[in-house]
Amino acid sequence: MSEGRVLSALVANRPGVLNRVSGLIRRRGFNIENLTVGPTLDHDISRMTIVVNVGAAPADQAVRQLAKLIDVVDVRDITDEERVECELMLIRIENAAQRRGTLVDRAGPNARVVAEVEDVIILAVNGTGDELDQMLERLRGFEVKGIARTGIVSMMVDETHPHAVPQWARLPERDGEHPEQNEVMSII
Amino acid sequence: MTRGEAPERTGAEILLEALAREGVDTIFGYPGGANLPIYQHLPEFPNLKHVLVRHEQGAAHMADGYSRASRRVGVCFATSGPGALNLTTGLATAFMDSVPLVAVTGQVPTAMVGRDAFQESDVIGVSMPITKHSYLVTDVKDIAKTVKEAFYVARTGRPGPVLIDLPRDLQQKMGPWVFPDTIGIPWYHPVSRPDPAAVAAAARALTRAKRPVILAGHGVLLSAGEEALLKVAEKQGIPVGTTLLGVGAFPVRHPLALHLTGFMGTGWNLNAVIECDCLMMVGMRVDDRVTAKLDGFAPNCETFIHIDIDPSEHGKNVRPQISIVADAREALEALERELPEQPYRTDWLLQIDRWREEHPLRAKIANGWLQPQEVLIEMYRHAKSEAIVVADVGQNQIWAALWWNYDRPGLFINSGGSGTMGFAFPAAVGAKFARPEKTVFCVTGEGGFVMTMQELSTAVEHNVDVKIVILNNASLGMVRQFQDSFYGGVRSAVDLSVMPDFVKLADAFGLPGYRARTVAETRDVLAKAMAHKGPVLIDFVIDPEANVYPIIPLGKQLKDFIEEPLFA
Repeated sequence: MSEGRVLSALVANRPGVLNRVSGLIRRRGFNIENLTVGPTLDHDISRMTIVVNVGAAPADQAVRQLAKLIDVVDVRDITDEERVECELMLIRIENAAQRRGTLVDRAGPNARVVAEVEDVIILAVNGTGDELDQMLERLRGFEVKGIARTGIVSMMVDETHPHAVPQWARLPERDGEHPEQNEVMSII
Repeated sequence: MTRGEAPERTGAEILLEALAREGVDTIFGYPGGANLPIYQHLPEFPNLKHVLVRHEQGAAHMADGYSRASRRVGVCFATSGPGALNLTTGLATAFMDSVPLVAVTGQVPTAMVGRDAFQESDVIGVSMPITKHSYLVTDVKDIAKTVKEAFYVARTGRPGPVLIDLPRDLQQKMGPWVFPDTIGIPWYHPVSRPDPAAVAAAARALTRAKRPVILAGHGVLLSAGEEALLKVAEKQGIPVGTTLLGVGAFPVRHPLALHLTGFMGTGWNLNAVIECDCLMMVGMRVDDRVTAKLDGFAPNCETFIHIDIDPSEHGKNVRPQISIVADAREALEALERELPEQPYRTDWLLQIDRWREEHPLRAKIANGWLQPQEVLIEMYRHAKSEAIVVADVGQNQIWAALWWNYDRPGLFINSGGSGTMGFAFPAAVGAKFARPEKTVFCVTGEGGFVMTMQELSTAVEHNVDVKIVILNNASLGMVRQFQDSFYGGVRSAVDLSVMPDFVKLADAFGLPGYRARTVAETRDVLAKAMAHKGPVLIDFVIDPEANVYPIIPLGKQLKDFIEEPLFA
């Protein structure tokens, strides 16, 4: 995930928004490594965390293109800001019952057993993307038969940081700036 | 009026009333199963003139031509499925050229959506990459506010087409008529004033420059910034060229004019761009048709200044040292106030004059064939600089851009970004609806014309006075020229010698048609065409080997431009 840029977007909670965002990223030639979306405290606004691989291109082009979507309230590249990230992973391990103790030890404190049926154990783990990668490494020697990962969510630590508050929310009301209705402007 | 006392009306009436409130006077459209309720109520709105097209693509292009000629929002209607899909080429054309349109498409009833109903297609999905925004209306109460929002989004910021998909059941459902006062997207603040610091930096860079050049694009026209541009240019004597879509943003006959830039730009323009030390690009995307091969674009330029309202265009192709994200007119006005007067840079302007003399536009004459340039010159004798010229795509487009004096905005209309063949004729019809007092020429090739010629009936029905000029070289001329020049001289699938007899075709559609093969015949038929009030078609049989010059070979740099050979 080293090449990926982490974009945090607030979007209008309307049908088709996910389609607009993912379609735009594809059209502009960027790859989505993962994308999560969920509600915010405001029912009309959802938050998306998008990890994009922009290759050699600068990430600001992806951000500016996304910002143009009418349904995007705010979007920014938070990769290099002070932030936390978290991802959830489910891991299915077979023939594990006899080594259950070792398994739980290796998995560490962020893992818990969420299902145990006959000889199958399913663990739920949370952590950063890198931590989950490392944890899978630690489970070598076990019969890991399947995983499901959510993709990361991320949030900036400093809520007073100018980037933590959407620019639109800081603007004064700008009524009266709406251009005149469909009026003919002098043309020739 | 509060919602409690609002009168109940059908969704169709609410839609039409809201359009009328937005100042719409002309709608180009086509009815069908999914928008019948709208058409049922349309006659109740006599101020909404409806033009029945013969194909929905024509409706979109007419709305586009209407918008470009009047700087108002163009409006078109279509039914669901095939009707809406036929709009898409026109929507993409408007989207590429930032033209504000509102398209209203019927959709199958809400309960049928997603069941592959008759004439159902996912119009929102299809139109997503070719519209600025789109709406699927799901509640009759949302119709009025959606219309208001759609017009606001279409015409503000970087303009563009907006689509409203309206299921048929909502058109019939009763709802309250309430026209909102505000727009429900508080985070959308597209009106952008220039950053004073950036404007001051631009003024300093221009003032310091020894060889400054300004290039102007469509944004100058869309923002009505041509006067501000003229003032900026004249204050310090800075030469100004335009992109294909910027034609008209600066008077071609002005002593500071560099005329057309880019791929098929004039020699004096290209030399000025190559040699300039400061290049200000205003209201343009700086696309590949302007830069040619990027590393040869303005190689001596020390300071690039980019003014564009769309932040994503800054640095997309050329990284500017000074970036002004703003409406072009507002930025130019601010710049004009900052810019100190100073003596004109005589050496630089004289150098450009020398290039102008060394690289004039050239055309073949007297080889036995009528030349396209001769047709345009004869047309110009009638039109002066008053007529609107709507060009199609290909050689005719470049000839019409180069061989005419566009001294004012809104007189040259063409599909620059999308390059949509078949655009010119319906767009010319739309332009004439918007500007009935102007002479309107449609300059097209025979290939592009037959792509949308069914609209001849629309023009005849409304007696739309468009002079259709077919520059008929019996081939896909631009493709043929590319094959000759860049693809090994293999002429493949470009022969259009089998075409209708256009004079008879005009007769069949019920309009006068003429043919000219010489300059004398050209003068004669143009006099007849100008005297006629109503659509008229002229088939000009031109030199089948005529080429567009100057031209930069594919993949080459600005400096590699080729001119019309002196002895062909």
